[in-house]
Amino acid sequence: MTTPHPDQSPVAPILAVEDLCIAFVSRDGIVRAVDGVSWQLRPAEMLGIVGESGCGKSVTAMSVLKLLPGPPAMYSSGSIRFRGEELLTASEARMRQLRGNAISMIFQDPMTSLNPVLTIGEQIAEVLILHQNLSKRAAWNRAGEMLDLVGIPDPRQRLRDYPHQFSGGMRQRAMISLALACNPAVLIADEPTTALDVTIQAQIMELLARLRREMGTAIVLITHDLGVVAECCDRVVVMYAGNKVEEADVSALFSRPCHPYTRGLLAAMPGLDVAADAGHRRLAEIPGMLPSLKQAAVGCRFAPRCAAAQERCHGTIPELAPVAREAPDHLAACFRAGEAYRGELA
Amino acid sequence: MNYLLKRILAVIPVLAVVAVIVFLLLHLAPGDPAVIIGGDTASAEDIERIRQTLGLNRPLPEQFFHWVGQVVQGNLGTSVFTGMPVAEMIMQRVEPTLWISALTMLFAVTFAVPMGILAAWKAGTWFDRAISGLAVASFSLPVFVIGYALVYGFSTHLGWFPVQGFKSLSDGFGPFIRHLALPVISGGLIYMALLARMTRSTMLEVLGEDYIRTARAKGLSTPRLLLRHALKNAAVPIVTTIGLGIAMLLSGVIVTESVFAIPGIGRLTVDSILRRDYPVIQGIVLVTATAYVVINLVTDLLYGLFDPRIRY
Repeated sequence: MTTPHPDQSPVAPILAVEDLCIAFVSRDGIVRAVDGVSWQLRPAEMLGIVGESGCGKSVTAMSVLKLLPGPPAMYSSGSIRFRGEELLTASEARMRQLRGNAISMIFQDPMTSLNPVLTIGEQIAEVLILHQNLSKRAAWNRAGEMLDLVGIPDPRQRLRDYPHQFSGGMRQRAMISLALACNPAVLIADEPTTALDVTIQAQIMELLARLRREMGTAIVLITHDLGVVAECCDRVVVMYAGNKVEEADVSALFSRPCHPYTRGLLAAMPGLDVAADAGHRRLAEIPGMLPSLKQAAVGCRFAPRCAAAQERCHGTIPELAPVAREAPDHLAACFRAGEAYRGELA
Repeated sequence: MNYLLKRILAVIPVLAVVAVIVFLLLHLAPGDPAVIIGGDTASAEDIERIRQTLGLNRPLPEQFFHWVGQVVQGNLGTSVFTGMPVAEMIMQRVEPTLWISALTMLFAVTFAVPMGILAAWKAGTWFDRAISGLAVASFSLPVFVIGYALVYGFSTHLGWFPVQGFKSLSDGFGPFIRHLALPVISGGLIYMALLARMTRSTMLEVLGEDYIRTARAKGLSTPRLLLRHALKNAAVPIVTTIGLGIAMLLSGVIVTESVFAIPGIGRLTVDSILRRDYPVIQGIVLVTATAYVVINLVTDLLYGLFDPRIRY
């Protein structure tokens, strides 16, 4: 009774994104790629950010390390705080201290994300020398341990290999060992499995889950693969057209999706039950396309594609709010989220 | 190692073709070689004597193999005009040319590579545009225009540099470098422009690659990012351009040496052509072509040093 359950104690978030707005300025207008998005990452948590291509999830991820080239990228408002420290106004020198050290990132395409003319060992040792002041020899040894940790056989030998001598899955393992070399508090994984074979995908996700357990790294997993989210994440943020449209614990989101877009995404997910139906059922799809983000929204961004849209959806922007009193942590930006939660929506 | 050997062996047929062409130079020129060598004033006996001494009356293949045999031993024949061995004449003239070539390339690379890197890093800014403008200007001005303009300004008016001539390094470093400064700058600007533009475009391409984003996500400083991660990836096209530049220089020095009256290979070439001194022309072409082949070989071998994906 005296020790509170860890889930109930308020844990300070390690990374807090608040009302983030990112715009890209081009000759034919301003594109609001991310429009007022907030989320929090708690220590050792795995947060999934899902959405279709172009919804702003990668831009959000890149913005945490301020890797977006500006111009054209502009951080028009909001805040990104890492352990309470504001990053949007932090100097470039301070950002360099954090990058690869306290906050790391892995990218979608492991085939092109490693430098082809440097050995794997040089690339891993480099961050250790830079951030941890290790000697060349110590960094090299540590790099070998990292390769071992991510499950690359014969690691001492493989340190001397170049990326082209590694397979796709091994390269992503090497990327992960590079990102985790300095034992960062936060790892941002931007579509880490998208470019890989399905069997390799599962291995990489298992590896990330294991490393999270062993090293206590909090992970932001950016993906459009809901299956991966269901398996690994604690909480999920669903993004659509630069907005956060729903956020919930992973079990709540999958059992009771409340935003029509989330429901559409889940329906579009091929599952084993589809196979059981002997393939007669056509995969559901969400009709229409992402709207242009050049104009300011007057109503719900999703309304033109939404089957449940009503008149008010086109004229008023729905606020993000808890879907029900008994589910304060389940947020959705939809007028009919409550109906969906209670199962009243078809 | 196997690749190395193959690459070196592949040079042999190229050199053989060069040898055939150089040999035929004399025989493809219109008219009887003996008459050409003898010149307008030679009598019939003179021509017959030339034919005898040079073996021009023997069958062509026999002449060729005899000639190749001599060349391999370092005997490039005798100048018709001075009566000196061609090899000796070339050796006498080789020093200024080598210095001009080496310093011209050093000058071009020293300025062009940093300029290209910075222009790529600052792409789209006034600095980038200034570099591009400078490159286009250097590109469009012929060596003799730049050369004479520099001489007019720095030699005639300011008197900082001698107008022309060459001083060997053994005469002291000061006179040596003062005589070479203007030829090197006027000849080197075009290579600097070429190389700066090449470096800029290659670096620009590399800087857009995913692994550069990875390097930034690692927290690397800009100089390290540019030099260690980007430049090494851009090295192959840059080295190719440097190699091509050196090869182009072999003919480029002819103009530079003429403008600045430097007694090098370039001058010797011009003089020999004007005198129709065929053995000397043959010798120069042979030496130049060989140098060209060797430079290409070295460039090829350097690729592997910069890019591990190029297998040996």
